[in-house]
Amino acid sequence: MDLLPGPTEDAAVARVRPLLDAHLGAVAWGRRLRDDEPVPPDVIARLSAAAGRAAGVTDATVVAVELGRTLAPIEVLTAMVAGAPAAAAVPHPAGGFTLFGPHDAAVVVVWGDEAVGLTDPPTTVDTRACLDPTTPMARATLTEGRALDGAAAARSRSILAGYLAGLARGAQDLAVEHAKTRVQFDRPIGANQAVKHALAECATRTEAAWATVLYGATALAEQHPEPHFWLAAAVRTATAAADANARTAIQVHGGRGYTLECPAHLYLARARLVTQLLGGADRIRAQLLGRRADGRDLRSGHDSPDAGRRLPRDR
Amino acid sequence: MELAHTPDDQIFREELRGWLVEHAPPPPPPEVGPALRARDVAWQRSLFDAGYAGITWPREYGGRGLTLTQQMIWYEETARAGISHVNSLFVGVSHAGPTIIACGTDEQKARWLPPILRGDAIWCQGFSEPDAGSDLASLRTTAERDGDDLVLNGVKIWTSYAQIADHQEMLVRTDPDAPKHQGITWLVCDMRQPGIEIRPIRTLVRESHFCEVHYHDVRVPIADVVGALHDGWRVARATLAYEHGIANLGQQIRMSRTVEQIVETARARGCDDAMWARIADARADVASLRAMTALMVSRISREDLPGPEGSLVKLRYGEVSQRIHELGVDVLGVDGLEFVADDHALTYGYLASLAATIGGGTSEIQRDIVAERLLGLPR
Ligand SMILES: Cc1cc2nc3c(=O)[nH]c(=O)nc-3n(C[C@H](O)[C@H](O)[C@H](O)COP(=O)(O)OP(=O)(O)OC[C@H]3O[C@@H](n4cnc5c(N)ncnc54)[C@H](O)[C@@H]3O)c2cc1C
Repeated sequence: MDLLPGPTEDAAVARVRPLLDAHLGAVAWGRRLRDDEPVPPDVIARLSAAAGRAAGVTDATVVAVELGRTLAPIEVLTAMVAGAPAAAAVPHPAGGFTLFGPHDAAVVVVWGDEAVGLTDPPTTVDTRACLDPTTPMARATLTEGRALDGAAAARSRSILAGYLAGLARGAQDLAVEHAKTRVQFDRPIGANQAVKHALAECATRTEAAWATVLYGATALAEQHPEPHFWLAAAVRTATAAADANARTAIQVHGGRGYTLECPAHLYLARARLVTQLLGGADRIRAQLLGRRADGRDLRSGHDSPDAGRRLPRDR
Repeated sequence: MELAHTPDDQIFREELRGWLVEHAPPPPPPEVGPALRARDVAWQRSLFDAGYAGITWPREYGGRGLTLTQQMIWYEETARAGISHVNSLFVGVSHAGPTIIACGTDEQKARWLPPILRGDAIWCQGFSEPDAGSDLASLRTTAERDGDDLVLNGVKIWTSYAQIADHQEMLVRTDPDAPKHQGITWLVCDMRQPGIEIRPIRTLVRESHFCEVHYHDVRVPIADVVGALHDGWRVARATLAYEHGIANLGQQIRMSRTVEQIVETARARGCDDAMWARIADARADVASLRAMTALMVSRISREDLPGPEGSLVKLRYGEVSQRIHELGVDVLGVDGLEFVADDHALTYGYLASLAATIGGGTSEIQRDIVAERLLGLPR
């Protein structure tokens, strides 16, 4: 057993890292937020192409961690599923879909409760402001799409879980950096046990998320007997880590954490957004209860109905 | 021990409730500017004309001289009517005003207090600096004596509503050689004079209510110092204690409305047992805050100045506020990602609640205060 990334994963990460470090990450985001400056389209195109070359599940998941860490836009993440920069969508309970990312992208990746599909661009779009000010959002009508097969759908969820683990790591890095440099009472704020412990908890959550995400991706790649359980565990661990670490990052920044130009809040909004792509915390929990290797529902002991499987189509 | 209000309190409540039906102010405009100022000023003026301004303030300065319980009723009823208390009136009415009442001279009280109550003047608070937040006493904005004036140079930050304020309560360094808590002075700065440069900062809720303020040779008459020169830290402690204690009462009470809003949303959209369990806890959380506030008011009514117990309320308020507002966006599901620029919207409240453990002294600092001053743990 060796859970650590190997040569394939390392090579995939090496293809995206220079681009990410040059154009994304906390410092670049701080500037963009201040100047309302979007990520240049050519950067998105190059990043999407580089990330899209990770064709397996483990290499793609590890690349997604890097994307999350540096707050790569949602269309780069979806490019890993669709092959080209795409918008992301989820069904809206009142009908239609909620769309995230560029409304004019050629493809939309639709995350249903468990099924995942690809559709054409939306036929109608009703723009909304998003909690994440850098991600376009809309209520939209989508046409019939084509569902990904089970393995590809699971891979796409593993990618989202990886992205969340990366968000957890990025938020932690941002907070740690600030704790080392911000001086109050004549010493860095990170010298205080209250801050130290908060950051140590971040590190614990990040490690848990990273480990579970690696485990889940490897289980999917190896046809482990319970890949869906492990994937659900990865998703749950990573959503919790991303959310809590982002909130710690805001807190550690004090007044700065409440400003639009401090990227800490981007980690929080992005974490909530990706959690919704995965169906929201309650659906994620339901998957942990309903999907054992023998297909039985944990609470009732009966066969778990495949009720969650909803193909992407307009309602 | 009793919960029942006196007949006087009951009459006060009923009259105020009736008055609010007719006179509630329009919702504030989303951006901080002349329209917001006009709205807040008009609201304060109508409160004053109806006798609902300065409930506990002395009568000679335009107040009503009523009890803290009636002040609490005032907060309850206005919050019940959906009126927000975090606005440009906050510093004057709940912060600078009470400090001047506690520490100002008769002349200062006569000069500054009535305009606050009448809505003639908006105040802001210039305490924090870029390098002096939690460690407020390390502030570096200087005020040098020049005849009958002090001349100010430096930078303040996070000054809420600086762009529409007339006056600013400020902490400045008047004696750079004294130990850091001793060389500080509390004064009132006229915001409409040359040498003041105001740069608004955008917040998470996409407005710019707080600002960075630069001072270049700004003159303040010595007569506008409150308390003695170099004694500002003591004056500020009175204000901070007040802020931690009851000044946030309105916000606390408003949270029970937020929980009702969440219940309605949950019922309309449907949600699972786990969510209802959290809603149940939220109801208890709000009740506990309300009880803590009542206890605090009872304590202050007997002992006068709020003590370090105020930090307990502030800590709990911050936690509960964040828990409840997170629940609010969770209940909304995917719609919880939609930012709505209205301070009654659950997503707006969610983002705003992130400041509840930072503004007015962070939760980490409140925990130190509780541990050291209340529990007597070593520093
Ligand atoms: C919405 C809002 C409105 C505000 N309005 C005003 C205003 O009108 N006027 C005004 O003067 N100020 C205002 N403030 C400023 C506020 O008082 C400060 O943000 C606050 O005191 C924290 O200071 P800071 O931002 O410099 O953070 P820092 O002091 O740099 O703190 C950063 C982090 O370090 C932690 N930390 C620091 N020291 C310690 C320690 N010894 N032990 C443990 N942890 C520590 C803090 O808890 C925090 O998590 C406002 C702030 C907000 C968010």
